[in-house]
Amino acid sequence: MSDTSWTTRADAPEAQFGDYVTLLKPRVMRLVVFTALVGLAAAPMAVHPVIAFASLVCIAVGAGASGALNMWYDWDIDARMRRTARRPIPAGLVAREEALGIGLTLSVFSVVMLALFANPFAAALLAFTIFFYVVIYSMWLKRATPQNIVIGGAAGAFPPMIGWAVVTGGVAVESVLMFLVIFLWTPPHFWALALFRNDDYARAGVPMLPVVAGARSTRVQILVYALLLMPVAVGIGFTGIGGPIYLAGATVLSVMFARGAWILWRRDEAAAEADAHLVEKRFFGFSILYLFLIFGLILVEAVLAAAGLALPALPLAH
Amino acid sequence: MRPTTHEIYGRRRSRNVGLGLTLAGFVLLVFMVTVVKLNAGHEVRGLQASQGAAEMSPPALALEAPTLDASHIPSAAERAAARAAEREAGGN
Repeated sequence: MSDTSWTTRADAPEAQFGDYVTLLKPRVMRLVVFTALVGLAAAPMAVHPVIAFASLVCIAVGAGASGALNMWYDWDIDARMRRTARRPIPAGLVAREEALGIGLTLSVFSVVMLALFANPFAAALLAFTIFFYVVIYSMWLKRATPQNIVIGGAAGAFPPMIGWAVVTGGVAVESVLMFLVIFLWTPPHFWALALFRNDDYARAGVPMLPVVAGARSTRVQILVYALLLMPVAVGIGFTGIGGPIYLAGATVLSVMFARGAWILWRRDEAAAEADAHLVEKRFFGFSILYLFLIFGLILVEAVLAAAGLALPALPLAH
Repeated sequence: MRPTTHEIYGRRRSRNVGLGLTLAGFVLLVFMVTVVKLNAGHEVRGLQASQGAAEMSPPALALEAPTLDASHIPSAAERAAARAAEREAGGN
């Protein structure tokens, strides 16, 4: 190796392993794994624990791959936003081409392995989820419409359906309801964030709802989605995966979520500026807890049912 | 800030160790799934074999029926007589 080539290599950015892990959006991955696990556990049949674990790894890697592809495509937006400026590509640690290669490889790998480990239907759902997140959301909707997060949110809603499909090889009312909970939860969650990160999105040129339609319209839509979410979340309590514990918990949580949205709706921008968006930040934090607890309650019902400790079913449950 | 050579070695080592552990984990995962699937397949085959044996029992008597005997290949006359006998039996 010549001195010249050594100098060139020493100048090149050198990423650590952790930078590649960051490329896979581990925080998003955690939510994906948890909701997929709940879908898997709530299904009416059971799979071998090793198959379940291997399938969850595939789903997590698939989600990570779509995260890497998202970072590859959105590197210009990420570089302009405070929240994302330290991601591996804008920070100069990982090259864009590298992120693209990792994303594509892991996408194909996760889908093929899920087909082998579980079944082709679950793998097809995972492939569609990656496609939806990368092509429909990242490449198309995100820069085109303020409703980006509404339709794009579907990508984040698929994991419990994939978990369910790993066990059953199909779709059911219960898995569709789990999908709908995340689908309807996503807009209020992200719009609450956008309310106090408005300048970030405006600087990056992302047409988030508060940037395009204003804060008032955003607050109205947050309330609308929170109200639409309530019957879906509570409705799960009357299906085969629900039960009295879920029903009680989901009712209380959904009322609290709707109340938070109501408080947001009543506030104006002067009040929000006065307390540095404290209420918006609290609602955003609670929205994460809400989703975690809703799926946690489904998991509790599944564990109780598996242990033969489930309380008597509700009249509509089968 | 330009990383020092020492830092570069550290980062490369981190990448190599991480990648190595990831690959080892993947190999272990495939191995475990293979064992589980093979066991499941073995159980299924065992079940099919036991069901099959039960279903095959009556026809198994057919093994005692005459089989093709290479030492006695029927002549044309014998085959014609056998066909005539079959036709007669069919007519009754």
